[in-house]
Amino acid sequence: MPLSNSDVLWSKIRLAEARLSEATHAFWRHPDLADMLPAFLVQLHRVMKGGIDLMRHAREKAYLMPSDTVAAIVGPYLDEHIIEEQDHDAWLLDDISTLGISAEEVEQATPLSSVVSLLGSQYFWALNIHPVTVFGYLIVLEGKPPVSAELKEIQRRTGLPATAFRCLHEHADNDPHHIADLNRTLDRMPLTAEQEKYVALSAFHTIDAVASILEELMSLYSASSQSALEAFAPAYG
Amino acid sequence: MSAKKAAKKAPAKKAPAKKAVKKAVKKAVKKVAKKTTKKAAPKQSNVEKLTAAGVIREGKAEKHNHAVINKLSTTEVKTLIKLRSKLGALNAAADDDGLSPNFPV
Repeated sequence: MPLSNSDVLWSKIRLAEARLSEATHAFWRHPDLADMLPAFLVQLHRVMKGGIDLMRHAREKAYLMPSDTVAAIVGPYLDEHIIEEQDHDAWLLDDISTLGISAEEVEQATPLSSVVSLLGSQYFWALNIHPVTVFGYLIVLEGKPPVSAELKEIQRRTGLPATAFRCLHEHADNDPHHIADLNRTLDRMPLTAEQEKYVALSAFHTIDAVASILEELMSLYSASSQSALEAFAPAYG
Repeated sequence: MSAKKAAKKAPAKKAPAKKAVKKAVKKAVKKVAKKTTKKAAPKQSNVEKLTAAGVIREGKAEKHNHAVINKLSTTEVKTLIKLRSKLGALNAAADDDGLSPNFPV
């Protein structure tokens, strides 16, 4: 019996997982995580908000390809997923405000170069190759959701208020349903070998860019001997 | 007289041209020989390439789907090797680390 599209993709993702595991381990176990977490959430907000815009552009591109059987599945899926995700950046903004960082500061924050790389490459693939490539991005991010028990342990360890973790907890609850949906949708697509390759390259780049974001945050932190807020000036704006 | 001399000298110039042709032939023969040698070398499978590069960890090969891996394109293999090259020795603790609150979208 031939493997499904999602089985093939996950077999490929497993080959690149070490890149992400090493970075997430270093970041979430960092002794100064409490100092770095606000900047992480600020950059996460950039990714969440940028992710919605990215999906809108990919959806538009998909609807511009009426005779494409794969795009015919991508467009309607993104319609639904955009609705599922649409207020999450506002929730996160609320969480960040409980750490004393205003919405204005978050909006003015300079995105890290790795954040730009994460999202920018997706625009290139979605608009110049095929909008299905956004599935590589979504499957990696939705497929590695936070786990509530871990979030509680991180909150205890950092001593940060529980209100800073509300949006992450929501994702811990919802992302497992989203990933099942994404896998099922990918499995319905008559992907060509070329499309299968590009979805995998998109997933690999997502893994690399997310790892780079965590590394960039850690190196920004360690490069500065100033207070945490000043150390993260580039991340705050 | 000078015109006669010029006419006599003309064939003498053919000698270096012959040499150049011989050189080119020799080069071409060498190239073909090189290509033949490369082709003769046993072709590595993707699993072998990725294991040699540390993408597939020793003792963990059974975790992976070899049929899928051996169908990976050259670009996918190169990308995976590039990602692996960004890592040093792998942290064993990170291997099955459950801490994964990365960037949910």
